[in-house]
Amino acid sequence: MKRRNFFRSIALGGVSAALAPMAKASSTFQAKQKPITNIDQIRSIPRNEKSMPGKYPGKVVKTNCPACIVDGKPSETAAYKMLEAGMLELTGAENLNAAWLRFVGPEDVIGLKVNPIAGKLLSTTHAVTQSVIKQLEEAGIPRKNLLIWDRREVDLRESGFTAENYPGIRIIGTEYQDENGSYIDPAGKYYGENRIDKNHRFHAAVNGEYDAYTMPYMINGGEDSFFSKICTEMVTKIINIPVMKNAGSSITVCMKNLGFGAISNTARLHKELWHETCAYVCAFPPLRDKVVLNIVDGLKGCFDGGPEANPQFICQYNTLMVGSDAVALDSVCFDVILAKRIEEGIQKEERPGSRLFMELAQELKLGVADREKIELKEINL
Amino acid sequence: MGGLLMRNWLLSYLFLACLSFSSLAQEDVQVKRERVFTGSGLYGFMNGGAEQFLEYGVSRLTARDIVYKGEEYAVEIYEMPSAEDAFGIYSLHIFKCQRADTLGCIDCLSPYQLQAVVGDKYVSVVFPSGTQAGQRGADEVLRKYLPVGGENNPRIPDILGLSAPYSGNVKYLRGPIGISGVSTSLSKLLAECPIKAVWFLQEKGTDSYRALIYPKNSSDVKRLLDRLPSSSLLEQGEDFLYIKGMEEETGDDHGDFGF
Repeated sequence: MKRRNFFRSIALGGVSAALAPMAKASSTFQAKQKPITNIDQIRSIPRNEKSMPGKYPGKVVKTNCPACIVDGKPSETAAYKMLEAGMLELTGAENLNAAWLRFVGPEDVIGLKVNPIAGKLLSTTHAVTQSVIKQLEEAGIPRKNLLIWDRREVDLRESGFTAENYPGIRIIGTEYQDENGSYIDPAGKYYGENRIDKNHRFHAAVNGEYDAYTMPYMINGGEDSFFSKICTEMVTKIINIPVMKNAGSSITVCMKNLGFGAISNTARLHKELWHETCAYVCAFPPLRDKVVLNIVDGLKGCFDGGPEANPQFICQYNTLMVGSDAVALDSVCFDVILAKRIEEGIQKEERPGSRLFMELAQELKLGVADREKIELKEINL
Repeated sequence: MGGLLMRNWLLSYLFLACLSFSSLAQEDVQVKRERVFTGSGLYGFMNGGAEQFLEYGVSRLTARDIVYKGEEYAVEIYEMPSAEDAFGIYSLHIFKCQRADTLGCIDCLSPYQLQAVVGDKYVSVVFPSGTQAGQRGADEVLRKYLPVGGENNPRIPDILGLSAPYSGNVKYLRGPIGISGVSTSLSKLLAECPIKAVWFLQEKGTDSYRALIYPKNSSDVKRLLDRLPSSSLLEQGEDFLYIKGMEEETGDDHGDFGF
């Protein structure tokens, strides 16, 4: 989370103690040895026909449109056409409605997992989000069956995901405040605790210890991260709509948006288990069996300074990618972002280990990471 | 009498300066939100980047979300100890300026942001729209808040042999955080060597760099000299070493995003 937003949220919450805003993550293992996780318990849970990588393993459709941003603003008209072209190519369906109905139906409750953490500058664009909603509605999905979600309601609100902009659609975050701006209920409990599901946990032997500032955004400390009830209870399907961003010399697109976006107590995981968390969390049933489609919003993106919005590194990729295979999409995005970083002189070549989370995900059978095995279709509008 | 006149003049000047910095120029600016952060309160505004600003000694940040001519802007004015410090933090935040040092001060325009050094202030004007109107307005917004005459621009040492535009051609570093972000090789060289400042020049398109290093005191100059290959030394003075070096690639990382 942007510390900027983090503290803004604190201010709204009325917490005044000026504690050092640091999260301490202490491994119970020696250096170089990766902390143990419960990923092995998950491998044995039976998969079903909806499990990642979904209907089109290894297939990515990349639709490019140089005119998708008009005078700095993402065009909803262009985004709609890009999405339409991508969906038809991905599915081979005879029409757009049929294409959408390969993934979802009118009985589904569909969570649109956007990425609002970088504020108005670099969050999932409204052009793309509105296009997704429009095409879902045209395919017969009732608006009341849609919700837009992320970890923090405050980030959603500040990025323009509001009831005013999306009437009739529930907008919800795992971490939330009451009308007075407090994250804590009258009984002293974090509201976020109501929205985490303790029956679904990602365990990792890294202890999350947080100060009073940080805790509302982690919801819990310790060695467990719990899945959001948004994933486990509120939705039957998830459509992932991340933004094309770098994370150092790696990327934060499909799997990072899901992995770090769906669980509590995440700060402890960045240092030692960043790659593992991106991959492993997606292997748990609440994500593995519900994420049916990924739509990468690459109209704008960044090539350095990510995942935050550092304006000097924001660029127009002028692209939108679709696929059911989050791993294959990340692999393609990685190459696009790496090429941009090299072009801009940020780095000279791929750095060893920067694709690790994709390799881990492939090993978990979540999708295809190997470049030569990915079927990439490009459309130029 | 003269002293009294001078004092009155000074007070008037300060009054006007304060006004121009806050409310005077803003009749056509709608301020939607204004926040002020001082010292470590900067943590309240930004991510881990606060440490970097504090390394340069930032004393106060005024952040305003405004609307000007129908465009939204986020204006941040950082008050620094000196023009060099303002230039230092600025130099770490610019990248491939579309237009550099053209407004009378040190400035850099990118597709969504105008950054500038105005005296001892570092200014960032972000326009999320990225439109042409937003860009044009950013110049006007900057002028509304600060005088951009360039009278108090930072002093760039002659030994570096630079001429304007300076933006993008030289960085000014004040401590280990800034140094480690710019050069792994220099960071290793200066490990455990306290410094006052470093002027850093990356040779375009190469891994070579030059660095004008001001260690904290003369014993540090000698200590640094001892660990420096003689072929790296370009020039030395009582309180500085001017060196050349070669950069090395860093390992894998995935950013400093901690939540």
